[in-house]
Amino acid sequence: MATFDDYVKELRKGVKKLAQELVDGLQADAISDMNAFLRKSERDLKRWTRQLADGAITRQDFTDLVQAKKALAELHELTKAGVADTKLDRFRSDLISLLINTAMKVYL
Amino acid sequence: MRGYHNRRQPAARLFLALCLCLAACVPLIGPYSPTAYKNATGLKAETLALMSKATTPYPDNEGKVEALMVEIDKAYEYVHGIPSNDFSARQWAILKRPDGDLLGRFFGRWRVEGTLKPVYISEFKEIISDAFDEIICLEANKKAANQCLK
Repeated sequence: MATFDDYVKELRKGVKKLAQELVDGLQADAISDMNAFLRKSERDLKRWTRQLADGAITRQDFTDLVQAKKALAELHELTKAGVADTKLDRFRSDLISLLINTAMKVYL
Repeated sequence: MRGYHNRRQPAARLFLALCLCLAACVPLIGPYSPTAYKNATGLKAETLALMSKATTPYPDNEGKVEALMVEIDKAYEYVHGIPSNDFSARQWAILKRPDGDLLGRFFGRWRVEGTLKPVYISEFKEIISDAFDEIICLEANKKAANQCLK
Protein backbone atom coordinates (compact mmCIF):
# COMPACT_ATOMS: atom_id res chain seq x y z
CA MET A 1 0.00 0.00 0.00
CA ALA A 2 1.45 3.35 -1.03
CA THR A 3 1.80 5.97 1.65
CA PHE A 4 1.03 9.65 1.48
CA ASP A 5 4.81 10.23 1.45
CA ASP A 6 5.10 8.17 -1.75
CA TYR A 7 2.43 10.36 -3.29
CA VAL A 8 4.25 13.54 -2.23
CA LYS A 9 7.56 12.14 -3.53
CA GLU A 10 6.02 11.56 -6.97
CA LEU A 11 4.34 14.96 -6.87
CA ARG A 12 7.64 16.65 -6.08
CA LYS A 13 9.25 15.12 -9.15
CA GLY A 14 6.38 16.27 -11.34
CA VAL A 15 6.23 19.78 -9.92
CA LYS A 16 10.00 20.19 -10.34
CA LYS A 17 9.75 19.20 -13.99
CA LEU A 18 6.78 21.53 -14.64
CA ALA A 19 8.48 24.47 -12.92
CA GLN A 20 11.71 23.91 -14.86
CA GLU A 21 9.82 23.90 -18.17
CA LEU A 22 7.97 27.09 -17.22
CA VAL A 23 11.05 29.05 -16.10
CA ASP A 24 13.29 27.89 -18.97
CA GLY A 25 10.54 28.65 -21.48
CA LEU A 26 9.86 32.15 -20.15
CA GLN A 27 13.56 33.09 -20.03
CA ALA A 28 14.31 31.81 -23.53
CA ASP A 29 11.21 33.51 -24.95
CA ALA A 30 11.98 36.84 -23.28
CA ILE A 31 15.56 36.93 -24.60
CA SER A 32 14.60 35.86 -28.11
CA ASP A 33 11.66 38.34 -28.26
CA MET A 34 13.81 41.22 -27.11
CA ASN A 35 16.57 40.47 -29.64
CA ALA A 36 14.09 40.14 -32.50
CA PHE A 37 12.39 43.42 -31.59
CA LEU A 38 15.71 45.29 -31.36
CA ARG A 39 16.81 43.89 -34.73
CA LYS A 40 13.55 45.01 -36.33
CA SER A 41 13.70 48.52 -34.82
CA GLU A 42 17.31 48.91 -35.96
CA ARG A 43 16.37 48.01 -39.54
CA ASP A 44 13.50 50.53 -39.51
CA LEU A 45 15.62 53.30 -38.03
CA LYS A 46 18.35 52.76 -40.64
CA ARG A 47 15.78 52.96 -43.45
CA TRP A 48 14.02 56.03 -42.01
CA THR A 49 17.24 57.97 -41.43
CA ARG A 50 18.26 57.21 -45.02
CA GLN A 51 14.85 58.36 -46.28
CA LEU A 52 15.13 61.50 -44.15
CA ALA A 53 18.59 62.27 -45.56
CA ASP A 54 17.34 61.66 -49.12
CA GLY A 55 14.34 63.93 -48.57
CA ALA A 56 11.89 61.06 -49.14
CA ILE A 57 10.31 61.79 -45.75
CA THR A 58 10.07 65.03 -43.78
CA ARG A 59 11.21 65.70 -40.25
CA GLN A 60 7.56 65.43 -39.15
CA ASP A 61 7.21 62.06 -40.94
CA PHE A 62 10.34 60.77 -39.22
CA THR A 63 9.13 61.95 -35.81
CA ASP A 64 5.73 60.34 -36.37
CA LEU A 65 7.29 57.02 -37.35
CA VAL A 66 9.61 56.92 -34.35
CA GLN A 67 6.74 57.86 -31.99
CA ALA A 68 4.56 55.16 -33.58
CA LYS A 69 7.35 52.64 -33.11
CA LYS A 70 7.51 53.60 -29.44
CA ALA A 71 3.75 52.99 -29.10
CA LEU A 72 4.23 49.65 -30.87
CA ALA A 73 6.89 48.75 -28.29
CA GLU A 74 4.27 49.39 -25.56
CA LEU A 75 1.90 46.98 -27.28
CA HIS A 76 4.72 44.45 -27.54
CA GLU A 77 5.41 44.68 -23.80
CA LEU A 78 1.71 44.07 -23.11
CA THR A 79 1.76 41.04 -25.42
CA LYS A 80 4.79 39.63 -23.59
CA ALA A 81 3.20 40.17 -20.18
CA GLY A 82 -0.07 38.61 -21.35
CA VAL A 83 1.66 35.62 -22.93
CA ALA A 84 3.58 35.05 -19.67
CA ASP A 85 0.24 34.99 -17.83
CA THR A 86 -1.18 32.44 -20.29
CA LYS A 87 1.86 30.25 -19.54
CA LEU A 88 1.34 30.56 -15.80
CA ASP A 89 -2.35 29.70 -16.20
CA ARG A 90 -1.40 26.61 -18.20
CA PHE A 91 1.18 25.69 -15.54
CA ARG A 92 -1.50 25.79 -12.85
CA SER A 93 -3.83 23.72 -14.97
CA ASP A 94 -1.04 21.15 -15.53
CA LEU A 95 -0.44 21.15 -11.78
CA ILE A 96 -4.05 20.19 -11.11
CA SER A 97 -3.76 17.34 -13.62
CA LEU A 98 -0.52 16.26 -11.96
CA LEU A 99 -2.19 16.15 -8.52
CA ILE A 100 -4.98 13.94 -9.84
CA ASN A 101 -2.90 11.71 -12.13
CA THR A 102 -0.19 11.13 -9.53
CA ALA A 103 -2.81 10.08 -6.97
CA MET A 104 -4.23 7.60 -9.50
CA LYS A 105 -0.75 6.26 -10.31
CA VAL A 106 0.39 5.92 -6.69
CA TYR A 107 -2.78 4.67 -5.02
CA LEU A 108 -4.56 2.64 -7.70
CA MET B 1 6.98 11.03 18.03
CA ARG B 2 9.10 14.11 17.39
CA GLY B 3 10.94 12.36 14.52
CA TYR B 4 7.63 11.34 13.00
CA HIS B 5 6.47 14.99 13.00
CA ASN B 6 9.76 16.17 11.48
CA ARG B 7 9.45 13.66 8.64
CA ARG B 8 5.86 14.63 7.92
CA GLN B 9 6.35 18.39 8.01
CA PRO B 10 7.95 18.93 4.57
CA ALA B 11 5.35 16.70 2.93
CA ALA B 12 2.52 18.48 4.71
CA ARG B 13 3.96 21.85 3.73
CA LEU B 14 4.14 20.86 0.07
CA PHE B 15 0.61 19.51 0.13
CA LEU B 16 -0.61 22.67 1.86
CA ALA B 17 1.18 24.82 -0.73
CA LEU B 18 -0.41 22.90 -3.57
CA CYS B 19 -3.85 23.15 -1.97
CA LEU B 20 -3.40 26.92 -1.53
CA CYS B 21 -2.28 27.25 -5.12
CA LEU B 22 -5.31 25.35 -6.36
CA ALA B 23 -7.64 27.28 -4.09
CA ALA B 24 -6.33 30.52 -5.54
CA CYS B 25 -6.80 29.41 -9.13
CA VAL B 26 -8.54 32.46 -10.48
CA PRO B 27 -7.25 32.75 -14.08
CA LEU B 28 -4.55 35.42 -14.46
CA ILE B 29 -5.77 36.34 -17.93
CA GLY B 30 -9.15 36.36 -19.66
CA PRO B 31 -10.21 33.39 -21.79
CA TYR B 32 -9.64 33.11 -25.52
CA SER B 33 -12.42 34.83 -27.40
CA PRO B 34 -13.13 33.86 -31.05
CA THR B 35 -15.03 37.16 -31.40
CA ALA B 36 -12.07 39.23 -30.18
CA TYR B 37 -9.77 37.29 -32.54
CA LYS B 38 -12.14 37.82 -35.48
CA ASN B 39 -12.50 41.53 -34.66
CA ALA B 40 -8.73 42.00 -34.61
CA THR B 41 -8.01 40.12 -37.85
CA GLY B 42 -10.94 41.71 -39.71
CA LEU B 43 -10.19 45.23 -38.54
CA LYS B 44 -6.51 44.81 -39.42
CA ALA B 45 -7.43 44.16 -43.06
CA GLU B 46 -9.98 47.00 -43.14
CA THR B 47 -7.61 49.50 -41.51
CA LEU B 48 -4.70 48.74 -43.84
CA ALA B 49 -6.97 48.96 -46.89
CA LEU B 50 -8.27 52.35 -45.78
CA MET B 51 -4.78 53.64 -45.00
CA SER B 52 -3.77 52.85 -48.58
CA LYS B 53 -6.35 55.39 -49.72
CA ALA B 54 -4.59 58.25 -47.94
CA THR B 55 -3.11 59.42 -51.25
CA THR B 56 -6.66 60.55 -52.11
CA PRO B 57 -8.37 63.55 -50.43
CA TYR B 58 -9.47 63.00 -46.83
CA PRO B 59 -12.98 64.48 -47.35
CA ASP B 60 -13.64 61.69 -49.89
CA ASN B 61 -12.86 59.10 -47.19
CA GLU B 62 -14.06 60.83 -44.03
CA GLY B 63 -17.17 58.66 -43.67
CA LYS B 64 -15.12 55.47 -44.01
CA VAL B 65 -12.58 56.62 -41.41
CA GLU B 66 -15.36 57.47 -38.97
CA ALA B 67 -17.09 54.14 -39.57
CA LEU B 68 -13.82 52.26 -39.05
CA MET B 69 -13.12 54.06 -35.78
CA VAL B 70 -16.60 53.15 -34.53
CA GLU B 71 -15.85 49.48 -35.29
CA ILE B 72 -12.51 49.76 -33.48
CA ASP B 73 -14.27 51.37 -30.49
CA LYS B 74 -16.70 48.43 -30.45
CA ALA B 75 -13.80 45.94 -30.54
CA TYR B 76 -12.20 47.77 -27.60
CA GLU B 77 -15.45 47.78 -25.61
CA TYR B 78 -15.84 44.06 -26.26
CA VAL B 79 -12.43 43.07 -24.89
CA HIS B 80 -12.73 45.63 -22.08
CA GLY B 81 -15.86 43.83 -20.88
CA ILE B 82 -14.13 40.44 -20.51
CA PRO B 83 -12.87 39.81 -16.93
CA SER B 84 -9.08 39.71 -16.39
CA ASN B 85 -8.53 41.07 -19.89
CA ASP B 86 -6.60 44.18 -18.99
CA PHE B 87 -3.61 43.55 -21.28
CA SER B 88 -5.78 43.17 -24.39
CA ALA B 89 -7.95 46.15 -23.49
CA ARG B 90 -4.87 48.33 -22.96
CA GLN B 91 -3.52 47.29 -26.36
CA TRP B 92 -6.73 48.39 -28.11
CA ALA B 93 -6.73 51.64 -26.11
CA ILE B 94 -3.18 52.50 -27.26
CA LEU B 95 -4.02 51.61 -30.85
CA LYS B 96 -7.18 53.72 -31.10
CA ARG B 97 -6.38 56.76 -28.91
CA PRO B 98 -7.35 59.89 -30.94
CA ASP B 99 -4.39 61.86 -29.54
CA GLY B 100 -2.09 58.82 -29.58
CA ASP B 101 0.79 57.88 -31.87
CA LEU B 102 -0.83 55.11 -33.90
CA LEU B 103 -4.25 55.42 -35.61
CA GLY B 104 -4.88 58.84 -34.06
CA ARG B 105 -1.65 60.20 -35.52
CA PHE B 106 -2.15 58.75 -39.00
CA PHE B 107 -5.81 59.69 -39.50
CA GLY B 108 -5.20 63.04 -37.79
CA ARG B 109 -2.48 63.99 -40.27
CA TRP B 110 -4.57 62.77 -43.19
CA ARG B 111 -7.45 64.98 -42.00
CA VAL B 112 -5.23 68.04 -41.53
CA GLU B 113 -3.07 67.67 -44.66
CA GLY B 114 -5.72 66.33 -47.03
CA THR B 115 -3.48 63.68 -48.61
CA LEU B 116 -0.34 61.81 -47.50
CA LYS B 117 2.78 60.67 -49.37
CA PRO B 118 3.01 57.00 -50.45
CA VAL B 119 6.31 56.43 -48.64
CA TYR B 120 4.87 57.70 -45.33
CA ILE B 121 1.70 55.62 -45.82
CA SER B 122 3.73 52.51 -46.59
CA GLU B 123 6.00 52.90 -43.55
CA PHE B 124 3.09 53.70 -41.22
CA LYS B 125 1.08 50.74 -42.52
CA GLU B 126 3.88 48.39 -41.49
CA ILE B 127 3.72 49.70 -37.92
CA ILE B 128 -0.08 49.47 -37.78
CA SER B 129 0.07 45.96 -39.22
CA ASP B 130 2.55 44.98 -36.48
CA ALA B 131 0.32 46.65 -33.86
CA PHE B 132 -2.66 44.51 -34.88
CA ASP B 133 -0.38 41.46 -34.95
CA GLU B 134 0.52 42.10 -31.31
CA ILE B 135 -3.18 42.08 -30.37
CA ILE B 136 -3.80 38.96 -32.48
CA CYS B 137 -0.76 37.20 -31.01
CA LEU B 138 -1.91 37.74 -27.44
CA GLU B 139 -5.40 36.50 -28.25
CA ALA B 140 -4.01 33.41 -30.04
CA ASN B 141 -1.85 32.56 -27.03
CA LYS B 142 -4.91 32.48 -24.78
CA LYS B 143 -6.12 29.54 -26.82
CA ALA B 144 -2.82 27.65 -27.11
CA ALA B 145 0.91 28.40 -26.85
CA ASN B 146 1.82 30.16 -30.08
CA GLN B 147 5.25 31.41 -31.18
CA CYS B 148 3.89 34.54 -32.87
CA LEU B 149 5.89 37.16 -30.95
CA LYS B 150 8.13 39.05 -33.38
